[in-house]
Amino acid sequence: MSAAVGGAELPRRARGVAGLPEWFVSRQPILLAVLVLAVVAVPQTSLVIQRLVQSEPKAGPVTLIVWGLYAVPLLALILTVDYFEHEPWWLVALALVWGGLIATGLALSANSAVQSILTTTEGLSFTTQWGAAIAGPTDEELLKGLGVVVCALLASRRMRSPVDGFILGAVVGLGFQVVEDIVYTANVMATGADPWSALWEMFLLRGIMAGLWSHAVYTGLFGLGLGYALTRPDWPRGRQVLAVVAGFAAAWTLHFLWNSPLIVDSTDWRLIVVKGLPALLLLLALLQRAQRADSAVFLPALAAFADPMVASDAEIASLADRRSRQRARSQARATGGWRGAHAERRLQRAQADLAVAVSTGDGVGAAGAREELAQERYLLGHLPQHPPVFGRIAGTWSIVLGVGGLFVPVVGVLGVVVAIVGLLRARAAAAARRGASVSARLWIGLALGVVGVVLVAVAYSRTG
Amino acid sequence: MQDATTPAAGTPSGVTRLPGGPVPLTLRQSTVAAVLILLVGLGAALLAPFAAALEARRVTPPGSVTAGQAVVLPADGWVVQTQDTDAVLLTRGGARLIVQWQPGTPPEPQTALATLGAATQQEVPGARGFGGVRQFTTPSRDPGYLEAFAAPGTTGAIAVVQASFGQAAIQAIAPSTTFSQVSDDIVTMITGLRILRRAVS
Repeated sequence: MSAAVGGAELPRRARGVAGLPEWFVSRQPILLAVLVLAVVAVPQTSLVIQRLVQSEPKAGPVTLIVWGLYAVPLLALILTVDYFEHEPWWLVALALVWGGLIATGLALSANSAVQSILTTTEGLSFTTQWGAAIAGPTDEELLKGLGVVVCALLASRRMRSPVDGFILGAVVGLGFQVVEDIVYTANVMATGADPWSALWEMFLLRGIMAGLWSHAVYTGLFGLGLGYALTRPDWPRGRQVLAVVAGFAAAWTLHFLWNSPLIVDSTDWRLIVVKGLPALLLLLALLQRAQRADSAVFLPALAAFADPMVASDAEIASLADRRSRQRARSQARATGGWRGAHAERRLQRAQADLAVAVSTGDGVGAAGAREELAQERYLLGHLPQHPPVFGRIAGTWSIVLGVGGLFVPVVGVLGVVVAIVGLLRARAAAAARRGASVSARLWIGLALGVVGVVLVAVAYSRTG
Repeated sequence: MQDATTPAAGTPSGVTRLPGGPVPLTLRQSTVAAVLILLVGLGAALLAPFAAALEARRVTPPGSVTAGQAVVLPADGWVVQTQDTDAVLLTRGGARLIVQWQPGTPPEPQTALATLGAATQQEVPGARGFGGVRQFTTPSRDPGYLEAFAAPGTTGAIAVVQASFGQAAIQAIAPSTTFSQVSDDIVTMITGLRILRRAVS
């Protein structure tokens, strides 16, 4: 081990060990409060899971595995939103445990209590119609939101952008969502229904139909509001409070709308279009803005190098959000193939790591990121270049829509439209560049879309 | 040693260092936060006893029907056909639900269900229980026991909800063809039954 490396690591370790007691001492009361709530809540949740496994020795464990696996890609998706700086693993685990065991356990009794109070005061008819809409958002959003606050207070590093708040909120929500799915599946099995069909139906209903615009989205919105409040010290206090209140109000309102019989009172595609998609779209729009705010925290550090070998102005601009990063990778792929796209991806990663390291004063991290950056720069420079191919992304979309069109005719028509527009644009772009070509995917997508529409037309004419 | 304003080797100068470490909290602030966390968390947990306390005030929900000390909340579409001091008959589209209040110390749940099952046998010959006995707790915190049964052309459920001073015996019978439409109502009405702790005025 070289003296230089040893010398660089020593202060980091010393800081870590010396920082722990101070953090622990100042957080002791909060840790104690979390422990008390865990003691109250966890037995309630675990009792439901225990009963499920005991009453259904085969379907019970499979239920736990299915819903557990369901959470994995969603968790990965949530974590990728924070491109620059990942949350520590233990904080993500705490958020999951809070959502899955503490918030769920407390909400189980609170929900039935609120429903009971509503029945006593307002009658069964009112409670049947509005009970879930009132009890669900009120208890659950409050308890999940509390988890986000607890995680923010216990975090070993403070939030740097609203995206950090979103990550914590969405992970708490995901934990809650998965355990609630298990509880609901257990409830259906307890009514005497066939356990396998109960699991399948609940997976379709709660996992597929309701999964993408459920608790993770609601609590993610609250986390985003909290994130804005905590990372904008220059804002007046009233505006910070308003950000938190707005986050909670958005979460509560969307949850209320989903649970209530308002507008759409049926479990089909109308529910998704009217109540589900708007929630997801609202979150995506806010996230796009928050990601730009996240980039604005770190990218000035890259610009300060004023060195195009570290990052050119165009590369810094392309790091701003997911779409611009994707666009840069697509351009690299158009001329350098898959290897070009991979090298571009690693270059972006190294630039982002360098920006974080410089912004946080991590000299060792900065040195490592610069080394990685130099390697990727070298690799990109030595890749064989070929003429660009235009229309790949539109082509992929037209194929996806074309395949969908084999089942839903409207989607097939959409696929044809995307393919034709893509072809026109790609041909125009290719004509302006020597040696460039149009992606074959556009033709495949067009063919699939046309086949889908024709098949449906034939079937319609025969039944007609 | 390197201070906060000195850039690391190979990094540009003039970069504003982001504040590191956790959110600054004094022990006092942390204690206040902990109290607030406990207030919200335990407040949610304490809603259940609050709901039970509300029940203990003997509030009869709007639209409820009383049979002796038992309070039934008819689901939407169910009509009270007959009612006397200790019993009520609710019907909907060929399905019926009878609640009888039986004062006095109740027998063991198995015995109570067996007695009710025997009475049901006389009314619905060939009725056989299925799915076992399901235990539940009513909103008034009284234990209940429910068993579904089926006979040729008929499906239904029997249940008892017991308190120390009496029990409610419930019998739900529906044509098999319509049972699936009313089964949720029946289960809701049975599990939502409440027992009053004082004489009805």
